[in-house]
Amino acid sequence: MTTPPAPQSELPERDVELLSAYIDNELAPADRAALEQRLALEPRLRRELAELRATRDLLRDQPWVTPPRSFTLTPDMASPRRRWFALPSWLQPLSGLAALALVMLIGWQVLRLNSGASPAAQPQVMMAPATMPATGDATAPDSPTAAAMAPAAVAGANERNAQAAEETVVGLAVQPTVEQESTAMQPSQAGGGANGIAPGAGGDAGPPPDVQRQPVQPSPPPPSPPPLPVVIGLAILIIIAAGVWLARRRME
Amino acid sequence: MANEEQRLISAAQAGDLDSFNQIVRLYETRVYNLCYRMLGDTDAAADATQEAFIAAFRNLRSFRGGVFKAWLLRIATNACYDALRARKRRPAVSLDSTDDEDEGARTEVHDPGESLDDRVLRQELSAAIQRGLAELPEDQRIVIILSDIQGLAYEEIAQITGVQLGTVKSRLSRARAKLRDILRAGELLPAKFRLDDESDKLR
Repeated sequence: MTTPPAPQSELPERDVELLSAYIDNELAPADRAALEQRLALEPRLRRELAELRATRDLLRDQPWVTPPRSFTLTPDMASPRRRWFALPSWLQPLSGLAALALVMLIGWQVLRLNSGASPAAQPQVMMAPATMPATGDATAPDSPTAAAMAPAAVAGANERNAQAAEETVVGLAVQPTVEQESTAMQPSQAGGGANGIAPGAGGDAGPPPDVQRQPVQPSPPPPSPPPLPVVIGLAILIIIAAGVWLARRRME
Repeated sequence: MANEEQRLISAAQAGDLDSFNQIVRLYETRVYNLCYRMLGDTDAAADATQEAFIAAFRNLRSFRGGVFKAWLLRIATNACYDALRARKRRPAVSLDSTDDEDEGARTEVHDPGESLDDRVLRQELSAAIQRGLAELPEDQRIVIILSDIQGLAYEEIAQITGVQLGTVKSRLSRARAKLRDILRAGELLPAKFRLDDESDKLR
């Protein structure tokens, strides 16, 4: 089709819509009266109306095409669609349940994998940067206390880690003097855990009291991943189901 | 007529294929013409028409009163959309490829008093309109076909297309304006339909 670019209507779309409805006698009486007043005054509107009406009349005058054949149904056409892979009707709800169970099983496995990696490892990774600079600032660089403190703090529980990080930041901001160190010691003694790290510049700081009292708990062993045959089996099931679904769509 | 149609529908809903085939005979020309104007191709239109009647028979129990024509044309409209989607997936047939063979395939009754020139002009115009329809967006095309070729009211069109009345009005006005622009710009309108400013008059 090599139609040249069509000229656009000069009228706003709203006016064209009014004219189109006017042609079909589908305007409310008030709108109709208002439009007829404008038509009497605006030649551009009249021209648009005449062209739209001519277009509508051309379409209306189009002869109907005679169908090439009859479309009556034969008994074959009317019979229910045969499916080469059809479940009995009573099994169809069960197939939905099976799909749901499959999704839940996969989701559970994924959750197990994700949750198994994080709890023991993440606090260690997060604690190290928060603790090490604090000890570096508050103690002498070659102080053995710092090296001794870090593993103790690392082994703490989550809540103590968070508290330690928070108070370490406070300790850094204060720029400890001798007097301030003594005041900074108080919350550390009360809070325990990694709190003792910043005031450790005193040189005699050992592990915080609660760290000393509580032995380091070994992190729980990571859960074993799902057995490989189960994963492979699920993947094969999903591929088969997708293949059947695609084949059925093509057949239809 | 309405009672007879209702009787046929009830019988068909009970599984009587002969009654349904009587309904098919009543509506097949209308359904085929809708499909032909939407798809622009006689073969595709015949396939879509057949699909529509098969789907109508299989889903006849879901028809619970109302205007049967609108219900049936809605099924036919969906069959056309399916065919258009399939065509987009496998673009083997173009809407523009339809003109010559389809013009020949028509079996219209010709007016014996019509001159050769008039006949040629009418055929050119018919082909131009079909090309113009093919250029419209599908949602505008279906509305202008239902309104201006099938002669349906706005309410029926809203039922068939499943949109609001206001949407029908705006789509129809845009379709008419666009078709008018296409015909005018391509000088596809015969001279007697090309209006100029001097010939303006309120009709």
